[in-house]
Amino acid sequence: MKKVIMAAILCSNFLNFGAQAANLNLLYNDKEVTIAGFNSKEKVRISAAYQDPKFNNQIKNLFYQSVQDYLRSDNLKCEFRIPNFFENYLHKAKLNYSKADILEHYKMLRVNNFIDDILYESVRDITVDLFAMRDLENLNRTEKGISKVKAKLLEVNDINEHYENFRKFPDENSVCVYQEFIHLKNIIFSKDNKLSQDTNDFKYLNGHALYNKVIDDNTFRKLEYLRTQSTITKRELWLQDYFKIIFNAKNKMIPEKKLYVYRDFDKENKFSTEKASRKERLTRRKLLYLKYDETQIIQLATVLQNASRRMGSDPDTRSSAPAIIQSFEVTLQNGKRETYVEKHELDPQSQYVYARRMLRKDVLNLQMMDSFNKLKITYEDVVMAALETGYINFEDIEFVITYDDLWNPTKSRQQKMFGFLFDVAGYGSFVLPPPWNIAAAIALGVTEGIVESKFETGADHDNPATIFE
Amino acid sequence: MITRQPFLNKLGLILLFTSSVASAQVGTCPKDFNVVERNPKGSGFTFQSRTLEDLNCDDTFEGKYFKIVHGTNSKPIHFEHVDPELVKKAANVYHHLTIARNHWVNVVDSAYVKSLPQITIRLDIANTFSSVRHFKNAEQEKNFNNAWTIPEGETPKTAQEKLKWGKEIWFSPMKKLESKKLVKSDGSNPIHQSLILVKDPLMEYNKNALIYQGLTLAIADNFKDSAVYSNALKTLGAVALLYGAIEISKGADHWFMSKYYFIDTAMVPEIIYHEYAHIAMSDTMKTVHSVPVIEGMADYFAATIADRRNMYEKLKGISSNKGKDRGSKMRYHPFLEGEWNSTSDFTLSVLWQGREAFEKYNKSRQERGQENNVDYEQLVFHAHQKLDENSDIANHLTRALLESCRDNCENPRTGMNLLNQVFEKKGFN
Ligand SMILES: [Zn+2]
Repeated sequence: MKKVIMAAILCSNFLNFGAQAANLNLLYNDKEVTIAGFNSKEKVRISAAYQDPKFNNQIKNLFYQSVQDYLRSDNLKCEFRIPNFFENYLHKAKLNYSKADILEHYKMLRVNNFIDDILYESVRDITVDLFAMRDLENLNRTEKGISKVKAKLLEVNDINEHYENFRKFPDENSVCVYQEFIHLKNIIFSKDNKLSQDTNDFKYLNGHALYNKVIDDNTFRKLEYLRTQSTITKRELWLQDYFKIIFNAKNKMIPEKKLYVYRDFDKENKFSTEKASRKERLTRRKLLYLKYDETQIIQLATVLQNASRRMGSDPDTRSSAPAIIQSFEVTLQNGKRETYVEKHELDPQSQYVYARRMLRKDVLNLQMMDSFNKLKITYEDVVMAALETGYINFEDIEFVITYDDLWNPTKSRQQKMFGFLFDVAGYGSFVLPPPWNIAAAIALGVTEGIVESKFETGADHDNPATIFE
Repeated sequence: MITRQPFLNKLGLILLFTSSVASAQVGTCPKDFNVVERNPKGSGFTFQSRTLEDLNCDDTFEGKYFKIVHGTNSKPIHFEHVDPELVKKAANVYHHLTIARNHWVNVVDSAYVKSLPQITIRLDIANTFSSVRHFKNAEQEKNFNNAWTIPEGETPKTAQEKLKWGKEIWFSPMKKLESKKLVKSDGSNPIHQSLILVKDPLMEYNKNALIYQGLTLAIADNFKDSAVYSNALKTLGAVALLYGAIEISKGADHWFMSKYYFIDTAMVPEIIYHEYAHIAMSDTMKTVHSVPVIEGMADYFAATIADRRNMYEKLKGISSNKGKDRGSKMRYHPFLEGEWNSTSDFTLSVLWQGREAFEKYNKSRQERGQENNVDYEQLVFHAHQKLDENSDIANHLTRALLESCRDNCENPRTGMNLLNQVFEKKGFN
């Protein structure tokens, strides 16, 4: 579970949005350029099916209202409330509200960037579960329980206690279905008295609870559905956590001096929706949401802000040239002491490199904090966090992403050396007649030799005049 | 009286009208002359007829903005001057200076250039510039194959002859020099001063014993074993060795671009653009001595006007010069800051690589429906206002470009990042 530290920098109450109306405009997708939830053919079909912007906007408003109502409720684990509210609003507005209609509306919301992929996929899955359980509710069928007594299993799992909250199926008001289900799943022990990894244990207990009439037929069916067919067992991000990031981290660091407003969203950088790595099935943005909480995301983005300030390219900051200051107290022969101070101002390239070195150090410092324990921060996470908070924009990505070349070099040393070789033939000009231009060329040849030999001896300096490389 | 009044008015109007026409005619008497137009590639060129604009109507090469004179004269060269070669040069200089000025006025939009008074251009001047006498005695020191931009000045108060002059561009005469004979000469050696500048940093490296390793790599094998090599190192140091290397090496011929060295600077369009750029940037960058940053900036603006990769390159019968390559892949080294490196193409290649990077990047912005982040020429132009004759490349030029982007880029962060990437590629770190 993610711990929240440095909560002081974020002053809102995460758990209850009821007091203040959440800024629902933050639901608007300005981060994910491509759609992960369905293919481009489907996107075209949806666009064709929903051509009336007025109607689309009405649907959007009803959906946003549903989210608002959900956020005002006491328990944000009751995620079924969103499709429930939405269905009611559609009904009231005399619009189609079947399961198929609602799922189509969601797609329209995603295509028009009224919602992002994470929310789209969540509400889609929740809605599918909601309607599936309604169908099960109406199924007038007697279920078969399991009479067999597995003594060892029943010894470590008290059915009456475990299924207490399912004697009456959760009302999604004071008690939430998903929450109770996940809770139940997590308290089942196997016969060797360890937390059960075997889904057969869960299956047995469901059947045995039904047999013993701790739960009824409907509840049994629903529990079995959740256990076997719902995506809830694979869900890694609660809506509650998603909204915490949306309302407390997303676009929270947009510079005062706005530098870039996209005009053609589809042509922007696809960094956030690309797979995080070859092994990773998640996109970079989803990974960010799963891996970090809102505080951590702000902390990650701040690392890049600091680097940007050191480089002198933060939009809201005027930065001086960095300088190294060192003072010396020298004891002279006569015993007197003399103090002098040395100040060395960095050239722009050293400044650029220094800022990148410090960036790496800052990431390392963050990594060592308790709250980041067991989380391996990657530089891509830092960039993604900066994008999420709006500190950097789409255009910045391709530049910012190369900052880590210093410590993750993509160029081999050989290539770097090759690039250094002086083009001797390039010397000479109309001002210097030969042979003096040749003398210049040879002098540079000497220079080249010096630098090359430095490579040979292991020192890795390209430009001997810089301090930071 | 009453009846004559309208008549007078009418007369007055007519007079006014004719006089305004007359003054307009005095201002501009355009005339066609043949000028040098380079072929797009290589050393070829043709003489093309071009109209010289803004000429005064007195059959001389004096116009609103330029006065072309011969040597130390003050009167402009006449169209009917006895030396047809001089007329050809005058026309060529006048035409290409007009192109350069138009660029600075219309494209760069420089208020300073717009405000400049007429400047004097001296052709075939062999004298050396004197900051107190305007010209040094011609016998003292003779210049050939070169061009300068000189600052305005006046004789000191104590001088008997009071002289005052404005900014001027000087083109010295062409002289065919045999390359090999130059090797043994001393005297007015243009690199002499430069080598003194080289000496110190080289000696610095000596302490690390690195210079020896460097020389081993730089000097040919058969030379390495010679007595000159070891003696020179012991007694004279590395700089002397450079002279020696050229003197002794029989195989040095391939270093020379040709047997002869010559350059008629007044006939090479890019050199004319280069010298005018010095004038155009003289508000902040005084042309008292050549520094790599100032030369590189002038090269850059000359390159945008000429738009050719090899600037100042060979021109058949006019110049045997080896050009500067704006696309040079050379990477930075502190030695490049030396005055003797004013002739290197490094600064030009930094500025040009920036231009290409911004072109590519602006194009990708356009594809996303964005405006250009910055007009790169304006970025460089504004950078010159932060520079002077004491500026170096690694500290001042790079910072001036970055700050110019901060002030002028639509999205300074990406612009500055892009500049930093260019600097990185050019080996500044
Ligand atoms: Zn120059």
